[in-house]
Amino acid sequence: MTDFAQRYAAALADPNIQDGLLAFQRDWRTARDTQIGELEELTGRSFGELAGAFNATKAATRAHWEQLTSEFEDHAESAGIVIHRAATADDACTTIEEILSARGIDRVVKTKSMATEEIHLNRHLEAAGIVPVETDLGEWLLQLVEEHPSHLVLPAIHKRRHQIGRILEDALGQPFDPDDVTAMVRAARTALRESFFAAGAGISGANALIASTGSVLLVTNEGNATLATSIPDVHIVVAGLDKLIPDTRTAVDQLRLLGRSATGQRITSYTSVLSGPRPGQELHIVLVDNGRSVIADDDAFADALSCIRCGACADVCPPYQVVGGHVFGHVYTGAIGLVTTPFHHGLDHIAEAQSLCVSCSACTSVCPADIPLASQILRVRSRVFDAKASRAKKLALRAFESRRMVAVGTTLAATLCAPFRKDGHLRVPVPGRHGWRRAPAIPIRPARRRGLNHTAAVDRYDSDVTDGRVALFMQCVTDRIAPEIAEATAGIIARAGGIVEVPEQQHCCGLPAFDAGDWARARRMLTQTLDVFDGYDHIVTPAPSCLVALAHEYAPLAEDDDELGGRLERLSASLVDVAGFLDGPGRPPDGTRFGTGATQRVGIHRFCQCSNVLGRDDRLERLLAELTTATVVPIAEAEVCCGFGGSSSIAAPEVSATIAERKLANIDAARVDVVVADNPGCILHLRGAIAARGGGPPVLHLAEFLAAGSG
Amino acid sequence: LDPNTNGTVARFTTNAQAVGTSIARCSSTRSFEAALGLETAPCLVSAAGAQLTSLEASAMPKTPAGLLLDGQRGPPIGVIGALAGIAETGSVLVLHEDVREVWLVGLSEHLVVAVAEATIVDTLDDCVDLLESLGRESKSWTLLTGPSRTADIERTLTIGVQGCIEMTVAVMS
Repeated sequence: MTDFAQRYAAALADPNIQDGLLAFQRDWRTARDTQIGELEELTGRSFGELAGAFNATKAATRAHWEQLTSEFEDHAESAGIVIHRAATADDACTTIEEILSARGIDRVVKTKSMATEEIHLNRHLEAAGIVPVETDLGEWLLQLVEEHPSHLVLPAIHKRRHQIGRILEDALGQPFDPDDVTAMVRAARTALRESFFAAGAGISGANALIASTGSVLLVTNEGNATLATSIPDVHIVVAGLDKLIPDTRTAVDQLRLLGRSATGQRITSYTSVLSGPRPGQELHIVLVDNGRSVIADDDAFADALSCIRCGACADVCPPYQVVGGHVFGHVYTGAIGLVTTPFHHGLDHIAEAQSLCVSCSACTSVCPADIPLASQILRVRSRVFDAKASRAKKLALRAFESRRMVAVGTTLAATLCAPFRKDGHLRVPVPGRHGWRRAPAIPIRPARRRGLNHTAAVDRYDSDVTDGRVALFMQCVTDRIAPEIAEATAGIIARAGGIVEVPEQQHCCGLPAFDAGDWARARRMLTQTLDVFDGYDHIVTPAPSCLVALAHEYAPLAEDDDELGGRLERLSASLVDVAGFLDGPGRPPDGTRFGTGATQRVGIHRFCQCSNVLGRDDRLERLLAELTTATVVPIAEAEVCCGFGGSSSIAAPEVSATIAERKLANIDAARVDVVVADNPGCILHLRGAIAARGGGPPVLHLAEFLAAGSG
Repeated sequence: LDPNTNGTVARFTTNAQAVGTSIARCSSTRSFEAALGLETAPCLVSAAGAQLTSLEASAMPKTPAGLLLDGQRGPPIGVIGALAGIAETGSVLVLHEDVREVWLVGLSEHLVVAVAEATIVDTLDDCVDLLESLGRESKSWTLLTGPSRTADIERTLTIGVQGCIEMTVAVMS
């Protein structure tokens, strides 16, 4: 069992992690959304605009990195600050050790600093006989039990109060009532207060380095940085080169985004700017590279250097909620950890953890620095695939690339499974780790054999596609596993007056290969798809996952091929999903009604990428309200992924199962008659989970729900 | 800084109170002392605090340890002065011309910050130029936004983990 597998198993077995993080994520989302809404009102700009502007400033800073670093150094040095540059983690640790040893310092206090975690400073200092004492409460608690932070902002978020009570009892020799958090905090206050006076130096990180003034920006809620940087006679700042910002204007922009994104606060309690040492004090700044220059030179990853360490990407991440930061990340946790770890610590340290990402893009949607985290994680995955993919995985993807092999395989599977069919699923449970779901029964006749060309119209209406050719891009999953969704989609096109055409040669857009990291294969499958659908002005797919991939995620596949890029762009412009069709070229006249006419209570499961990538939060709700007599009932956390996540549901089925449970609990609480969704992957995933647990509301594709009662 | 409106002060008050800061409106030095109980409680007053309140500046110790009462506990009340208040966040901007004021900020059990009403501005945007110049010309400044807090133990908001346990902003009219 690998080290990762051990940590993964341990996290799954620890109920404290899932329970604690679920409550945290829900509270965080409410607080963050409230404060971001207020910021939008205050500034008159959307969150996306604010985040984009901040990222643009950071990018411009990187473009003039050496110049601005020199400006920072000049200002700082003229104020008496000593600057040290460290190319590697070892260089940084050695520099700090030398500063301390030269002054005979054998004890230091530290504030929370991810840069010092990154370079493993404590380990280095301890080996040199120097005692580091963490003073941030969460960091200190973890230091007592020799753990490292599981979150960028809340380091001990994986611990519950009874666990912390025991830690303090062991450390301080007195019992604590686990429900009396105030008593625990006051005891820590007393214990830590001594440390500031006993230390020869204070070591802090930096939230930003302001070039125009040569200043260090430091924020804390506890106020420990105020003590650690002012009481000892030596203060050492450890900061990555990425902390550089041009001026105080940018610092204010960062502060506004940081507090709101990190903890749902307008601003942290203590926001300090240090522009020089106090009389009699030494102030050193160690500027750490440790892979940052390599990131900056890599166009696909450079934006990761805009990170302000707010932790929002973890706070919104469904897999992080299941396993916590000791599994989902390395030193840096959450989505940003999956992205930057290869550069700071090597690909090996993240090779397995990255497989947990479900690609829901929630991280990207809340990132206050507008970092395309989800895309960057997929790129990391492709590097992992190139370096480490197993032969079995490569063979499976190779087989999947062949339309003929897939046809043979699914036909064979359908035949073998026929005796075990029940309500669309296999009666026998899926073995082992996948036992929480029932496998769909593969039908004998795929959609492509159901005569969908020129589908007859029922209750036809006039639209922009009336009497025009409309290609049905079935999606491989729908074609082979859920052909009824393809049939319903064809019916929707026909009702809008479109002439349905189902190109025979269509297979798969390549998303499974892309998602698995096999980008060379994905590019070939994309090219085949472009060939098949060339020349159509209107293409409809029941699968927004394919739409998102083609229109948003596949740009890297064509980044060195302008012709391919142009073809991809043209296809994307013609392609819509069912909701997009009904909202666009296939829009019905006012008053048109779909469905059975029954007044069902309908819950909507939003495909996470529709919300997070396409920004279409409420389109299904709106369409159902306009086109049917259904009563749409809100489902809590509608924007949260259902746990399907493509390859991640195979690599980490326990994570997938837990996220599905969260979704089903929200669906159950809404007490709906039916769930409507629009992505086949989500639909099959939820149907499988509901079947395995023994029942629940039916889950229908939007096209199926609208088509019900027609004809 | 431009003079502000009453709406700005009201917003400052609301946002400061939201983060646990007590607000005392003081029209005179006497009302300041009475509102904060300074007439009876021992307190240390920084030079900036004295300037804004007309209290007498305290003789401050030369080392941070000198501020401790029993080798551990900080001064029961520390009084400092602020350059400005910011309504957007309920913060006060404190310039540290003397490191002993930083110690007072960090070690006082109850931190009292006097701020002139006329220096309370609406948003952080209104302070950017001032903060930039402070960054160039001073050693340090701090935006204080409520007492010391933590949520590190199971997200339970708890006040007074390291710095002040209580914070009062005296708005001097």
